[in-house]
Amino acid sequence: MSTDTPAVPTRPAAAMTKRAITVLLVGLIIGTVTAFIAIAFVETVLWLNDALLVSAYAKVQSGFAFWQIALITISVPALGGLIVALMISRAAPTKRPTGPPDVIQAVQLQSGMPDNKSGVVTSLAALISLGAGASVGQYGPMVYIGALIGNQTKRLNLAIPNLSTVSIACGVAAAIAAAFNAPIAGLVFAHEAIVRHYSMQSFAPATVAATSGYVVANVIFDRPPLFLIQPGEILQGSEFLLFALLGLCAAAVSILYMRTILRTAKFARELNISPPPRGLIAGVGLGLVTLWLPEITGVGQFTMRFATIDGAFSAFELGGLMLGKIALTAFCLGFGFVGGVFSPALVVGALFGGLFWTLLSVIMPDTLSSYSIYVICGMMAVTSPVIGAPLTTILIVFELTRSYDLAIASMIAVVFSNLVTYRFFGRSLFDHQLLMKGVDLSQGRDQARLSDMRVRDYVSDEAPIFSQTTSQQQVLEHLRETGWNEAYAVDSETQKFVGFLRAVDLEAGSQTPIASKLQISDLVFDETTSVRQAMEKLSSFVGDAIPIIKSSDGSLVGVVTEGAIIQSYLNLAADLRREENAGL
Amino acid sequence: MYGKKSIVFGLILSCLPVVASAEQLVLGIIGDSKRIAYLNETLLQPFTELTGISIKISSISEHDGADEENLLQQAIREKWDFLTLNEAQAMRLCGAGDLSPTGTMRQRQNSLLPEVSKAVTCHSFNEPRTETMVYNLNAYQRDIPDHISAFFDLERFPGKRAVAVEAPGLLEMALMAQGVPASQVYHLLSTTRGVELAIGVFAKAKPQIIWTKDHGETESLLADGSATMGLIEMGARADNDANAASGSAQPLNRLGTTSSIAHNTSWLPTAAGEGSVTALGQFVDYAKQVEIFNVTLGAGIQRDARWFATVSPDLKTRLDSWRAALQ
Repeated sequence: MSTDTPAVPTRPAAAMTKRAITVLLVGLIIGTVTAFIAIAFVETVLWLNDALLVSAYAKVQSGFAFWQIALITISVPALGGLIVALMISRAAPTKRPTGPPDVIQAVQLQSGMPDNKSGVVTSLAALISLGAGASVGQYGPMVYIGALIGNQTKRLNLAIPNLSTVSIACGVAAAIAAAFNAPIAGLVFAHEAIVRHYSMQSFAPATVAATSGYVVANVIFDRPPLFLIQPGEILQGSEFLLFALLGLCAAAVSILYMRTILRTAKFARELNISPPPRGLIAGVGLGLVTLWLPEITGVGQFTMRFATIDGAFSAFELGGLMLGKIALTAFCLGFGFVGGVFSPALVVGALFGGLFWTLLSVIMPDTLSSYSIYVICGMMAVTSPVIGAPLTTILIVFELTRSYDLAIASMIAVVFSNLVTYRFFGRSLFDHQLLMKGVDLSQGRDQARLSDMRVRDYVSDEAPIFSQTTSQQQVLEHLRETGWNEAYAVDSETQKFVGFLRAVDLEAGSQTPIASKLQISDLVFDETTSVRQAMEKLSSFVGDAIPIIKSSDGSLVGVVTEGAIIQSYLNLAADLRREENAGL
Repeated sequence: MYGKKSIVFGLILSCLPVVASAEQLVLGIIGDSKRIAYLNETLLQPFTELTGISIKISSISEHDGADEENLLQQAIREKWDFLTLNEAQAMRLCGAGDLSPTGTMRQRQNSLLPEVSKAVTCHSFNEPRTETMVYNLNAYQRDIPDHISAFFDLERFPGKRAVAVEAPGLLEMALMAQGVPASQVYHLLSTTRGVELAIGVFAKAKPQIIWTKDHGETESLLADGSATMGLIEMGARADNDANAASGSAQPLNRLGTTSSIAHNTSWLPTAAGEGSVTALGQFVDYAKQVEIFNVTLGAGIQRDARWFATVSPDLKTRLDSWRAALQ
């Protein structure tokens, strides 16, 4: 052995190993717990659907007369809508349902998840909504539950950097893995839609969590997959053009779906009806639709199942149900039911894919590949822009069908759909909802976080701020002592900012108040100005610091130096770099 | 090895012929002659040999649509001690109050006030049975059918299919072949669309389907190669394997692990027979010990008897007319 071998740094290695084991253990626990709760959530929804005579199966077995069934069909969702509205408006501190956009915001801006109580109330409200047959999704609430479980690690005080993000990623990955029996898709979804980078620090424990979710769902509970089809092969290479066309058309459906949801929500808000009667309206409306078109209510798993079978629906039914599902989902979500947008999008997409194939088969009989290939492509092409996760949807197809042909066909459709949707709508419905809240993720997480940082948090403690009646000599002395070239003046009574002055303009030994030397600032921030906005304006700024005034009364909050703003940006860039390149 | 209980039970039973040697039980059994022969071999004959109680059998058509009320009347008229029916028929008959309750069964109740309730049962025991899809190994050597959908894929897997008109689980099989998981089959069948879809799946395969009168005929067609796929009872496959080994039948293989349907045949005491309470008790106790009544059901789908027992009149009419049209 060579004696000059450098000593192995045993302590850091041991610490790193301990941290790696801790993080992986966190992934395992979060993944397992999330999977159990996610499955319990789904099973409870099914149980409620049977118990409340929402499902066709329960209705058939009930032995009730038609009028009794009709009464129940209207009263159950009406009561459900009312309860959900009361829960959200009275019991949730946020006074609104929380969901995946909140998770994305918490992770991207490091702003923290909404309070636990709101999350729990929202999850229960989603359970009741789904149980009562509302046309909302179950995967959104499951993702939120996963994130909520992951977020609890902040209580553990483990002193691991980025643990909150890592834990949330684990919860989300496990929820999707358990929901779809697709661990790879779960893993990728957590990173593609929520975390938006692929550091080893989150990737490794999320892999453990997704695998745990899959094992619990598939091995322990033997959950049926989302779809079970034998798609066959793509008959002709030229069909890939048709998949691209399907993707382009799916984009239009997807945009219609998302815009209808947003506009209906806006319309419902503008009606100025208090939540309980609004929930009641949603429930009664849902009940009446259920009497007429039961296929478009609920999570839609049975409609989706029918949609994957050639001949179950006519072209007219496919088109009608697709539009009906879009309208009813928007109505339910807009008027107060709580739930996700993923499952209805899958149903809408499946119906669209079936319609696309049915119409094409009239023009090109006997030359198309199987019906189910187009259904799956349509399903994923409509859904992926809604959740902003094209890679995830392609992987779901691959994991569930193990068909390379179908995965490639889906990939073409998904990519073309996302291209158009990104151009005319944005990355996803979640990102759009965040944009409406003022969180713009379209320029990247660094810009979003800069937008979330306020310049008021970087005010200088040593800034030379004086009353406008202070003498020039006094100010000049202070500036010489502190090295500042500028001073900032406020009204002695109102504390309003009245202007700034330069040291070179002051007369040595003069007892004249500085008021005569004041200049108007070209650049002034207020308490809401973000670091991002500040940086955009700094390019033309010359001077020591920029005053920050309170917009309500014009009083001076403080001043922020150019250096402090740049330093905050550099700190952020370093933080992001550390997070995105963090190992275990 | 046998457990202590079995030995004691066997000793007790072996003493009984002396007590009840002149007894006779009359059984009305659903199924064809082959099934009756099978039951005779596995249950009835050994029981008679052990106890001296003779068994007289009346055969009943195994048909979902058969009127169980009429069958019960026949049982009373002809003084049967036991009537066997499929579980859904037994549930309906028991629910109507036409039979004496024999016990209670915990079951989930679909109502607005959900609870695990106890339903009255009238059967002495249930006989688990399994039907499975099989294919001729010689007919499909290159492209092996490995999923139930192969049964309906006439293009990829050509050849005649033999199915008994009265076979249980046909609609369920049709939906499972379309990728519907077992847990969702009855939800889909609860809609007219689901029933029509399942019937339509058979309609599409019509040119290649031979509708047989019973499983026995199906087995014969498979054995002689007239049909290359079919639905048979699990036990029949074992018989066929023995014949195939000797070259007197075509070799059969199960069409995927999930291509089976498990269901129960209920054995109902009618109280109309002339067998003594002791003889009836002995028969029930013996049957419960026999292996065929204690098998674990395999993968596939468990027939939802409750669904069939409570299916809405319009769906029942649709199903009955479809079956009738196949006859």
